[in-house]
Amino acid sequence: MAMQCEAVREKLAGFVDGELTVAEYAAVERHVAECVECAAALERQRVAIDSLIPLRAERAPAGLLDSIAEASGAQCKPRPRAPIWRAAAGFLLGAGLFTGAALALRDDATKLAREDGLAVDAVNTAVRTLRSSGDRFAEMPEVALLAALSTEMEGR
Amino acid sequence: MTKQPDNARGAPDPAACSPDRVAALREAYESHGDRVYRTARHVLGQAADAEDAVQDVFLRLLDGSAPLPDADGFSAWMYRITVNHCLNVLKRKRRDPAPAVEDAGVATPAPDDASPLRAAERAEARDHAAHLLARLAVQDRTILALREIEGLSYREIGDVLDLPQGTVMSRLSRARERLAAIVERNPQEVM
Ligand SMILES: [Zn+2]
Repeated sequence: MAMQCEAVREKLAGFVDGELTVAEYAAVERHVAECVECAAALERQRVAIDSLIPLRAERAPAGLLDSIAEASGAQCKPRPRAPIWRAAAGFLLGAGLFTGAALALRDDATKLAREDGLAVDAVNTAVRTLRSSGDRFAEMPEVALLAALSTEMEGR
Repeated sequence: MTKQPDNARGAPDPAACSPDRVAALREAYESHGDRVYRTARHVLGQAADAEDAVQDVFLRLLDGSAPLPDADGFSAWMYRITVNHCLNVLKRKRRDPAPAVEDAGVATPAPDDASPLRAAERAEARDHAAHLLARLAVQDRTILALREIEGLSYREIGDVLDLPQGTVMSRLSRARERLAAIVERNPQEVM
């Protein structure tokens, strides 16, 4: 059974792109060998493909990531956490204070240490110190604890 | 050009603003920024709104309103939210069919080691191609961008557009027909 032109036209993209079954491919191939109009339409598929090749290498405008990062900054007010943590690690190493807050803060501290290039070992040591020392800050929420650490550091 | 994010005045969601999310934003942009930009540009039919669209798409990653898919599905997912976002933008603006004027000057050409003349020729070819593509209706622009520019398979295009592969094939066949007709009526002038 010969394929009709309309059916062939719908499959021309698949013919060019290798997305037809073997039987479909053979049917289209036979048809375009005999039908001038569909042969021309097949050629137009290739013209269309070729015409868009120049757009494949297009890049996003320079600086767009910075704009997005800036907009995300407006969305998420960054807290100056890393410097405080750096101070905190040093402070804790020297001071030997508190216990309970250590567990809650350990993961956060390690993450921030990585981000900030702070030695993870230093934080681990600080956390061990936290664990094994007094409980003055144990009940403090994180924000208050950070503020307290910051104040302590400034006083040193 | 860059606008404030929709939720700029809302309270920041601490989980959304975690360092992990911010790092994910940068990582995602590095691997997908160009693709999202190109897709947005051609679905929208112009470069002017594409930057805002790219920003919106990547901020969705950051604000946690969209779940992050696993690595395998990431590409198709990015194309999907890009296309859907751009279609919504067009709906809001009631801009379709495509605007008559394509402002081609905003996009950055790919790095080019060749001579300035060749670079200029390439820029000319890009602008010409973008201009012709922009004359098509959004459905044609979208499927052509995904196939000819982004190189997606029929299966992937079907995933992005929620279409069976047979429909992808027939729509693509017709979109190419219409593009070829425009190309043949508008040969690029030789510099
Ligand atoms: Zn025919």
